[in-house]
Amino acid sequence: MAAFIGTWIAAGLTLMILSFLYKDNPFFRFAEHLYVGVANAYIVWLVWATIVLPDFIGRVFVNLDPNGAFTPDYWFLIPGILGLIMLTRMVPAIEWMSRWALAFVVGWGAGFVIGPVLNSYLLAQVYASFPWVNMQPYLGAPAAEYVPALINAIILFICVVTVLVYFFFSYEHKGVIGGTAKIGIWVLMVAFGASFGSTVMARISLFIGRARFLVQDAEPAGHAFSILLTLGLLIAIIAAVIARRSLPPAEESDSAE
Amino acid sequence: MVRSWERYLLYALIAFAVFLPLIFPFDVWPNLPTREVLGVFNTIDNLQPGDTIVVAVDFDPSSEPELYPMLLAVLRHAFSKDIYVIGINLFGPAGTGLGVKALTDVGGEMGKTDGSDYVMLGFKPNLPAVISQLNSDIKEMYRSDANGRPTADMPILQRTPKLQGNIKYMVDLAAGETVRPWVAYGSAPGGYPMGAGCTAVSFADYFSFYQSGQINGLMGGLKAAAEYEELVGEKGAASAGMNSQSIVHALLVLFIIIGNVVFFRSLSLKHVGTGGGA
Repeated sequence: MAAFIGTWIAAGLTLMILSFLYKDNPFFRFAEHLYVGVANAYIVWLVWATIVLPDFIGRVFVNLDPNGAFTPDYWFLIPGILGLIMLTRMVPAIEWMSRWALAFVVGWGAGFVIGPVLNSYLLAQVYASFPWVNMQPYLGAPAAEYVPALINAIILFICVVTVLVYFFFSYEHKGVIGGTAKIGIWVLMVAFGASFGSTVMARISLFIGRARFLVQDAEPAGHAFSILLTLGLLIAIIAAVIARRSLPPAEESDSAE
Repeated sequence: MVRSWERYLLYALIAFAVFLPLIFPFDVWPNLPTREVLGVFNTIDNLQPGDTIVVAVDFDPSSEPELYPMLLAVLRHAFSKDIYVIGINLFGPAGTGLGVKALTDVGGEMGKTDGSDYVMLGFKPNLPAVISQLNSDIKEMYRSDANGRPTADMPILQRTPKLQGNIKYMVDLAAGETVRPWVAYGSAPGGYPMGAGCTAVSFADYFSFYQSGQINGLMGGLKAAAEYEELVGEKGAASAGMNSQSIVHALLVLFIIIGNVVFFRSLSLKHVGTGGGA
């Protein structure tokens, strides 16, 4: 029964959100606000139940494991207090205290990330840009594999260099620098095109996900009802919007007020 | 200038292209696996029964249509080979529920036991610190799992007290920027191979990590999920969605061609109308 009702609600809310394709309307607003409220409440509960309770309260104040021995670990008071003073940003008179916590986070973060970031994001990526590095796995491979790999490796290297030159603003983009930068722009355009294509695929995938829920995932018993509800809501939304548009302008502004 | 009815016509065509293949399913286009998807599949396929992998459920419901089918396919593959799975979520609190559901559903289907064959560790903030700690001690970081049960005596974590030296593979199914920290703080210092699955939007961003060999496989979007389903031999939501996806892509290409034809035709008409002078 719970799944049955859930299907109704989910199908209805999906349609309310999709109604924005026609225009902004109260049904869309209702579904949007409901989503934000429910999502926030869910996240607040999860953060309390899975982070604050076990990692702070459960380590310092309360034994959460009835079968285990409890030894308070008072070191956790330090991050706990730092976390609490972050909230002082909401009180203007003592807002400055939150900077202590931020200073700790920024200082720790900067020190902690420099090594791994340099190693993984910069050195490894630069190393993998060179053609002779990329060709290592293909040494001794048949020409049918070696030649395409070589072409790819050279194209990759040219793309990296030309884009770097494009973002090199210490010299005016004229002559050789200008020509190379122009190739860099083309490389960037191709990259943006690829990203746009991927983005279209991703957005359509989201719509497919919802459509699949409406068509296939709903329980057999609830399926027909979800379609009926869907159609009903669609008609109601269209009727509401048409009715609103047919109001005389003065009356419409009165009702808006 | 787009007239409003034209806009609604485009919406209607897209809606038909998405809904019709779902209402009347067909199986025309095979989702042939690409080398990037095979990288993840082959690594898991070559593991031995009793090995442990980590599957990071680093996405939330907003990316569920793309990444959840991928997660189900990877779990089915791992469980079918009797590989233990440690699930984790470092993206956002809302992802934990998806991980619990996937592990419970697939684990239940394949007769696996929660806590012994798999576990879903919950969400923790601060990726770099959590990943580094997991490399050296999982139970110190996670005293309880996502369901609130203590991890101290959990069999799967008795066998795998830390990631470094204990896990054979790590797959990050990411909606955001989690692949980079997993590479930098997890896989590289921990010395375990890593693969990734991501939304189609992020695919181009992460490809450089695949090209550099920092990850040995990369699955991008619904298409990669469908390829993995095909490799596992169990078609699911991604394969069903790819029929709609293919038709919509063809439709969009058609729209772009028609738009360009109309645009250049209007330009030439304007050119004729002004007597050819600029």
